[in-house]
Amino acid sequence: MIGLLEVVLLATALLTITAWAAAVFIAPARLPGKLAPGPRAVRARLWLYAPIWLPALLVSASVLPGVLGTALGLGDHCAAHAGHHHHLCVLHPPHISNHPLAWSLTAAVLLPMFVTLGRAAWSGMHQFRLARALVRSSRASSFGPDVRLLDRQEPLALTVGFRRTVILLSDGLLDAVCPQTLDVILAHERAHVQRRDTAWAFLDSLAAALMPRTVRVGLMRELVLAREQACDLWAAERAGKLRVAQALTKVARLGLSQPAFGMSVAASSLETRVLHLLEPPQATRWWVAAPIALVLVVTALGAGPVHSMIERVVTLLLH
Amino acid sequence: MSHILRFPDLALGELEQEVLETLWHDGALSPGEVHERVGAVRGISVNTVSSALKRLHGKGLLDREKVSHSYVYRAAITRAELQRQLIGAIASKFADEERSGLLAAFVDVAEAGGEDTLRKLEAMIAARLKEGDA
Repeated sequence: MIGLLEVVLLATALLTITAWAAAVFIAPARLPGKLAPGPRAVRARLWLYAPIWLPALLVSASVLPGVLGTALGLGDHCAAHAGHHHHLCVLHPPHISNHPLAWSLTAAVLLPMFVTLGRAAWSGMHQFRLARALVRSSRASSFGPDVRLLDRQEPLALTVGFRRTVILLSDGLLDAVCPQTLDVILAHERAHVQRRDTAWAFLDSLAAALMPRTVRVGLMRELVLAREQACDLWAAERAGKLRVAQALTKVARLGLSQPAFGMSVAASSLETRVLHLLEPPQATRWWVAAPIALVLVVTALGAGPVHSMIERVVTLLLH
Repeated sequence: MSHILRFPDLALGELEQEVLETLWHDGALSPGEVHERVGAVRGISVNTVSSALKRLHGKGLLDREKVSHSYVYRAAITRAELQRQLIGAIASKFADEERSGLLAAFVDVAEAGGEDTLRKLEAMIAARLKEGDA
C-alpha cells in the first residue's frame, strides 16, 4: 500500500500545483458581476478552495475505476491497461518505486502548503484569544446574552468569536442611532451569528493564505460582500429592505472614524449592498445546479482521462 | 505573524481579566488585597495572583510602585483603551483590503465611498420611500 500512497501523494502534488496555477491566473477575471449572495459566495469559494478540493476530488475519483469495476462486476479495470507500472488502484497497489523524484516532488509542493496553512491557523488561534479577551472586557447588555457592550465612543457594531459568537455594540452606537436602526443592526449581526459567518471566515482565511495577495484580496472581497449581503437580506425579511438600506447609510453617515481596523477597498461596498437591496438581481434557484454539475464533471474527469493521465505521467516520471 | 510582534500580548486569561476588573473597580491594590478579592474565591494562592499581576505589568497594562516591602498595582489603561487596542490587534493582520472574519462590522465606513455616493444612495432611498415602496 505504500506504493499506492507514493503515487497518490505525487498525483495530489501535481494536481495541487495545477489547480493553484489555474485559480491564480483565471479566478481574477471571473469574479466581477451582479450576483445574489449565495452564488457569489459559492463561486468565490470554488476558486479559493480550488487547490484543495480539485486535487482531492480528482485523486479520489481516479481510484474509482478499479474499485467500481470489481464491485459492479464489470471486470478488472487494471487488466485493461496493464502496460502501466503504476496503477491507481487499491486492489492492485503498485510497488513502491523509491524514486527520489517521487517524494522530493511531493514534499516540494505539499510541505510549503501545510506550513502556510499551519501558520495561518496559528495566527487565527491568536485572534481567537484576542477576541475572547475583547468579549471578557465587555459588559452585559439588556438586549440578551448574545449582545454585549463596549466602552467605546465611536459607533461600533461587531460580531466576534468562533464557537461562541458574541455581538458587541459600543456605547457610542447606542447613543447615536434610533431604536429602529438599532433593531436592523441587531438583526444583521444576529444573521452573522446564525450563519456561523465568523467560523466560515476563519476557514476562508486559511485557504486564502495559499493564494498570492493580488488574487486573495479579490476573492476575500467577494466573500465579505456575499456575507454582508446575505445578512442584509436576513435583516430585510424582518424590517423591510428600505429600512435596512436606510440603516446602512445612517451608520455610514455617522462616520465611524476610520476605525482601528483599516479595511478599505477601491469600490464602495456600501453602494453595492444598498443597490442590492433596492434593485436585487433576478434570483433563480437553478444556480445550485452549476456547482453540482461542476463536481460531477470533475469526478467523471478524475475517473476517466485524469486517471489515465496520472498513471502515464507518474510512470514517465518514475522510470 | 508580524502582528504578534507589533502588539503586546493582549490575549488575557480569565484570571488576568478578573484582576484587571478588580483594579479598575477598586483602584490601587497590593497583591494581598487583590488576592482577598479574587484569589480567595477561586481558591488560589497569593503567589498565583502575584504572577498574574507581574504578567499584566509586563504587558504594560498595570503600573506599580513600591510601598514599604511590597508593590502596589494600579491599572495603566482604561477598559475603553484596552478594547481599542484589542480591536486594533485583531484587525491588524488584515491590513488594507483584507479583513478579519472574526470581526465583522455592520458597516465598514472605509468602504462606504465618498460623500457623493452616500448622498446618491440617500436620495434613492428617499425616492423609494416617497413611492411607498416597502
